Amino acid sequence: MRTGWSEIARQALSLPVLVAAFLLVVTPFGLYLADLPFIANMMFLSLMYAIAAMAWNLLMGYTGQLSIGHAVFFGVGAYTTMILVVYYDVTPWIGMFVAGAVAALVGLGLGVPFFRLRSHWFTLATIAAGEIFKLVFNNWEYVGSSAGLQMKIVPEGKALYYLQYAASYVYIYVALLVLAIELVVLYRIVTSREGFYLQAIREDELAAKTLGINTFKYKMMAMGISAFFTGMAGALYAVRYHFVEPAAVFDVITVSTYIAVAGIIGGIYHFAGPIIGSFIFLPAAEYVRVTIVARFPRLFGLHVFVLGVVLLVVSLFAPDGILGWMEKRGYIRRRRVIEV
Amino acid sequence: MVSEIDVISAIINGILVGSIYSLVAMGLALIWGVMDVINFAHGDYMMLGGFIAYALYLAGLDPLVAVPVAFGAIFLTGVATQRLVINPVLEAPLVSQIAATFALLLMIRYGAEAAFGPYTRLVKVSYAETIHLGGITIFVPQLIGFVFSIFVALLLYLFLTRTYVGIALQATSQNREAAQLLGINVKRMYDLAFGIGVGIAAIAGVLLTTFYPLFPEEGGFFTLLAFIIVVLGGFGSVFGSYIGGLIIGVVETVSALFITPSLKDVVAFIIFIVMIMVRPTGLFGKKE
Amino acid sequence: MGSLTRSIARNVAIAVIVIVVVVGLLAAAVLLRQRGGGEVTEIKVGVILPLSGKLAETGADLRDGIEFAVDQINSQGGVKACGGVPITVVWGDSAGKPETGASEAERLITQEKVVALVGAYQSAVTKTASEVAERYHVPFVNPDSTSPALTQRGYKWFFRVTPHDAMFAAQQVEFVNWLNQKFGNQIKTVAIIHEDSEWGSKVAEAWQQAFTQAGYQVVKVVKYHAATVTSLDSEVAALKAANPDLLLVAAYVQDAILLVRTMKAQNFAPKAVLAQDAGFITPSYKEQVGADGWYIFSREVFNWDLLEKISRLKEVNDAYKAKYGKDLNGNSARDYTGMWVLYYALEEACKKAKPSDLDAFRSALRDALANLNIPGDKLIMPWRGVKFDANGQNTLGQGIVVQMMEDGKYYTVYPEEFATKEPVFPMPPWTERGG
Repeated sequence: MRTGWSEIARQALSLPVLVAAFLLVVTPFGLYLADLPFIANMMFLSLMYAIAAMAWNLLMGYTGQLSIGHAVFFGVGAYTTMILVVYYDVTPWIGMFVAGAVAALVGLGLGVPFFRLRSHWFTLATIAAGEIFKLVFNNWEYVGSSAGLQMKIVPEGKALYYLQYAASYVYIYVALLVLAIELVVLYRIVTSREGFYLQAIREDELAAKTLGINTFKYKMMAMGISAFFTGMAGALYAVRYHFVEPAAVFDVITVSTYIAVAGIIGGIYHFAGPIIGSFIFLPAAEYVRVTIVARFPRLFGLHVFVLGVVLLVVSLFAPDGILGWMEKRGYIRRRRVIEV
Repeated sequence: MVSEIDVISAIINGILVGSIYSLVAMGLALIWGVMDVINFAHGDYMMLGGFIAYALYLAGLDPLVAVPVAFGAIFLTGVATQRLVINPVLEAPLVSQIAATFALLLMIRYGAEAAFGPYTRLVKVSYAETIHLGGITIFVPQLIGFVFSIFVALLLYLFLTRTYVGIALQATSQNREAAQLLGINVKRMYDLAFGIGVGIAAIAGVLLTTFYPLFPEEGGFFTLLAFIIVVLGGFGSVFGSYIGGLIIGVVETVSALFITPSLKDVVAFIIFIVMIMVRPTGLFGKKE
Repeated sequence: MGSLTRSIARNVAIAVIVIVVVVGLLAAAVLLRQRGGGEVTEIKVGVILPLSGKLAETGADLRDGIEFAVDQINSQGGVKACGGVPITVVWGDSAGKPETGASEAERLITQEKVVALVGAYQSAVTKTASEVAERYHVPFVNPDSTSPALTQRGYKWFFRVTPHDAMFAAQQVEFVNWLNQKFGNQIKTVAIIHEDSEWGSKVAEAWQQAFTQAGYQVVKVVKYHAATVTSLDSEVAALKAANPDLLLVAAYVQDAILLVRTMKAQNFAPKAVLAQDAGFITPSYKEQVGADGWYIFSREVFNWDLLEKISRLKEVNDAYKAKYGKDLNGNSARDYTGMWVLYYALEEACKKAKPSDLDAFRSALRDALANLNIPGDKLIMPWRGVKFDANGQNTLGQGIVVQMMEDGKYYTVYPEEFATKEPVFPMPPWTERGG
């Protein structure tokens, strides 16, 4: 039942995937050559949010649990990587995976109580969890309280060990690596029996239970994996900026909400939806901010207002996101991921 | 270290501040109960009420005059919002509903910031006096806010239990289908619930403005608090929410005496999570 | 079989097209990279400020200060040692976020090829942006961030013009000593209330250290979370119970107003209240607080009445007011000064290197900044001058202490050479004042 490696290889070697992968690998280098760090940074952010949004969507699109508290895992991942480097001299190459593991543990810890809740309640609990984590880190001396932690600059010979490079394009490759690992893991899960169970839970949890599915177990599995990769996305933040602070990595708007919005805009019922959503939403948000600030410097909140309008239009007229809308118009076929 | 009088004082101040939380939460509970929608923009309607009070204050009127004005204006805004935004997503999956009300939040909060600027404003009322009662101090505008909030809660109570429309609202919240069968116009009830819900939040915004600085982003924290209170008071229980608001107000002021005040919100959030675990129907809610 | 061959042929064709396009783009990218060179007609400086987001209001002030300084420098003949070329500013918007600040720094350095960076107001943003500059070996002039940690990182390319919070704390101790001398040792105990972000916490830390060392007794420290504070009743009750002679406050706007109101409501009047600028000096606070704000001291970096004491300042402020319709304030004046400091260093750097050789010029500029020694009379700030130590901290800067008097305006009361009024001390109790 589980997708074999040969099947994954076949999917991975299909033309659109190959072309996309080729472009993703070549573009950062081109951006570096052309000295276009603004676009390179946009690409990095899109990838970072894509990793988190893909992970978030394992809970949302596949399991039907809406979290607006993924900043918890993002922040825990970022802090874990940072603490390991700053206090224990552990390379971020290992730290990133430890970050994922710690985030997953936190996820499982929160899952035990939170999965007793349904729909709204679950969502509200995740929001509260995000606020609690931010406040606690804000007051926790060991992790630098509100000032956060910053890595020391290391000599250039140690750049690879500490993953400290001046040019941002290097980090795009790190993010691509994480995304590739994530895609393989997620694809294997959603095309397996477990993936099918998750979708059964999404459609009707009671019915799934009646059919003998241990819904709690599978929701916990989804939570653990979701938290793991969101934690890795947070680790990428720490690795890229060599800095963490509670206000930045536990933010309910720019982390928790952006992750969810990227997923919703792309389309939560498509495997690649969150990636598409991230690559559209973040550059668009950034573009809107830059243009509006240039044109109306005195209208302070205008760019966020515009984002609100966009989100409203999407939720009213394309509730299944861009991919869902394209599917409805017949531009794309829905990729069947369930093989029963 | 902490004396008895400090605790009593904290409790009284907690009740006064909590009565404003209560109003915000009652509106949220009404919307939630009748329509089964969570309104993420709730605190931002409250902020709009504050700006209406401020506008009247600038025109030389007492901000309390704004209570009916803000209620009326925000009631109409609420009805319009419900028809244009909420109604189309009522039957949609949870994620679309949340996305839609979240979009409203962004539009109202940052629209206000663009229109009025991010500055902090303060209303000076002539009765900004303090009463001292044996070591306990009470700020008069807060006391007036408390009285108003009880008054509004009473009016809402009478409306929901003594009028035909109010009873129809309650019926809709208890069973949508049955209400429809009884000939209740459910769409109309939704208009009313949303309009009254955000209208009451706007009243809270007016009262708040008499003793708390006004700024466009103030709604966010109140929305979160209102969620906590609604859960505490019992899902959809309008009056449970009133008591829940007072409890949260007291919890915040009293816990600030004993722990680092910057962690006092954590206490409220933890109560919230424990509450939804242990008794998701709230202190005063009916069993689902 | 035929259809399979066709589909393979099509795939190969698409792959070839993609590769050709990509290689073409890469070639174009390399060509783009080679552009530039030749004579330099302007000196580009990158400025990173919070132009959008929560601090956009402050960001606009800072931008005006920078813009005005650059206009003045250019109209008096640009950078003369480089042949009178003008300075051009390339703006970067941090949106108040550390990650955006870092990416803007990288953009300004690699894409815009600026010779130096100036900014970035919030300490967290300055941290990440200056880190990027340090890696790229680009001088970073910081006119406006006060977290002491910034100059404890051993950076070689980072220069902070403004005094930092620990320096301010030391000066505040001197001020309190001075009050004690003047009014007969009335202050012995101190309490602190601060918001819990990096700024407030570091200020409180510095205070605690400085005042304890100077022999004062810190009887209570209270912190709160400014973003969610709706009531300070319990906090003020705790302070009142500790009964300090002096209350030190680090607060933003809403919470500053709330604090003063709550103190009045609870009739808590220590002998003196000394705030750390921020909320207490914003126009919002000054307009709104009214008589409740009287007699409160605040540490400042700048004040309107300095016009009478610093001759250069009046002239600058008049021109500034004519252009922007407002007076200089602590923020715009500091960024204005930061830009002038950079200008003096540019003049020196031009004697050693050509701006067309970017790396050599940046390095010459760094050395020029490190060796800079500007006397106080060339500045509009109440400082003794500008001279950086090995960590890049200006050692000659200082703050002033102002007090709000009964006309609702702040007057400088300390140091004496800049004072325009005598301090009112102790603060009259709430029940005994007018307004």
